[in-house]
Amino acid sequence: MFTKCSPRRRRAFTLVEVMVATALSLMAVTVMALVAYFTSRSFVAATNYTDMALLSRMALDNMSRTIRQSRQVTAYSTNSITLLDANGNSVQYTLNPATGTLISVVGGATNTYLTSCNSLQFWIYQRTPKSNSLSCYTPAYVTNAKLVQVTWSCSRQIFGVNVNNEIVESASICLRNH
Amino acid sequence: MKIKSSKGQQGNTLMLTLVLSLAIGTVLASYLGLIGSRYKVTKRSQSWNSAIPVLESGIEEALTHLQDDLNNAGANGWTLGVLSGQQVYSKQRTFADGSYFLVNIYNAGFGASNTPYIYSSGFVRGPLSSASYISRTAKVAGTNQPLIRFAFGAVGTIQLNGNGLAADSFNSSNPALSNNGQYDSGKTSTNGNVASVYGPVDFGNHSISGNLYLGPSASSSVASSQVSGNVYNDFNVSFPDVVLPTTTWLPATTSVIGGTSTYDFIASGDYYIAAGNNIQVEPGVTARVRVDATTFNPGNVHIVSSNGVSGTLILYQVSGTVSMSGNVTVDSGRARNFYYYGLPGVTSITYGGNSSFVGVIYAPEADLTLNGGGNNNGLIGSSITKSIAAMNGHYNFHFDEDLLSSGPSRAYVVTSWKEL
Repeated sequence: MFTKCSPRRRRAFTLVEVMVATALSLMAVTVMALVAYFTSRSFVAATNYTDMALLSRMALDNMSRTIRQSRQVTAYSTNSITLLDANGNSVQYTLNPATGTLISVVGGATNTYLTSCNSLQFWIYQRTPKSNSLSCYTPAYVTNAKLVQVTWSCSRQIFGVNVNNEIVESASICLRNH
Repeated sequence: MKIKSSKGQQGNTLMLTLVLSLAIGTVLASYLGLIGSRYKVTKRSQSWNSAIPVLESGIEEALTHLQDDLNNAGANGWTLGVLSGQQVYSKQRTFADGSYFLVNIYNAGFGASNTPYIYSSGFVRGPLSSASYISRTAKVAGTNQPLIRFAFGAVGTIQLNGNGLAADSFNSSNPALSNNGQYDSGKTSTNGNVASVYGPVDFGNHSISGNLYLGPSASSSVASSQVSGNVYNDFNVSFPDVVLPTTTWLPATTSVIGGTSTYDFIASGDYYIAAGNNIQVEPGVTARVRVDATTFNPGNVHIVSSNGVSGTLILYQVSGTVSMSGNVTVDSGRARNFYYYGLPGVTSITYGGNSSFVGVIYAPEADLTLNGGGNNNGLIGSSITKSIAAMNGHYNFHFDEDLLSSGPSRAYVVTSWKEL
């Protein structure tokens, strides 16, 4: 038996069919958009973390190597320190809070170590440890500093918002030539 | 009823699945790659930094070797070799985690100069690999730091009475800074350094021509105007106790000199005494003397010099107290010719002679009191004691800089550190 459909009824969808199809399509597109958004966001965050880890490690390794071989701390504030390096040259590390950059100044030449640096702090200690403690005394004079400790915090933006941070904490670095 | 399937629709589904899988797989692989890179960067940095304590352990081992085996540089697993035409002593030590150091000491042989230098390399396994190593190398220069390097030093209290210059320096081996080896107030220098680990320190109205070294917890009433040099507050040196040499001690014999029973040392050697007679050491004789008396009151001590050849007396008192009321006369004027060592059992040293004391007093467990009644008496040489409990009379200290090179050493220390 053959049923013959009316040509008029095959020409278009019904309103209900259209509405259901539209709803399903919107849901599918929304899900795909959300997946794409969070995937890209996660991807950017991972990229930022990797990039910050690389830059922070490089900066810390370079700084610790220079500080370890330095002869003396000649000037100090919480976000800036100046030392005499192994060759007797002045080396300065300074955070510019306005631009969030950590720079080094060696012989008049400036080098940017870190960008997007939210905070940075130096501490200095003299060689003598406190009794029954692993911490050391704060020096009466800057030139008596034997240990330098530094901590900084960096962040990057995702879609215009500071959402992921990295904090680097160093052990105290001993001035071996002091 | 026959149902007709569409092969074209089945292919679309397969393609769609493959494309989605590829996209998801690419994203996951990229993500894991990023995380892996970060992990590798972190691990590599950790390994790179771990190489420092490893190479420094090599430096410590080399310094200890220099201290303990200077006369036997091939001992304790050190091997002699030649690098760049120079003789070097080398050693490698591997740790449980597979890291190791390789250290070479130049200029370390018997009778070597006082300036050895060390190359130490630390090797640490690289990240994600057991076969590759990350290494760092440092070159270190060392020196054998003298034990006697202060005009006077104390573990604790320094209490001076009176006024005037309390400390300056001269050099009995330098004609420009001495008068034929004797202290000359017209030929002085500014190394009359004073040290105290724990304080308190009170100079009274005295001043010193040198630096003042204080431990971080030492209290001090000394004004900066009383110190010609600098005041340091990070003094971090321990004064090790005296250890009696292991040797065969022979009984000392007495002779009558000038009507008085005197221990007269006419041959070099190791002796012991138990009484407080006069002591005389003849030219060219080096006498190491163990003092068994617990209340030691020697008479006059005379170290004779003739034609530029002096005797040398080294006293080791085991325990008790010593009171030197006689005069200590060292003809050469050089502090290197008379050492008094107080072992940990010695608790008190009193000097009350009417002349200057020439020599070295080293007794880090004993209180020192100077009570001489003469005018302008001096302690020429150096003194390291537990405290200077009082300083009466007219004493002042004249550090003999000759002791920096001729005196005993404390330990090898690093004078420069450079990573290569």
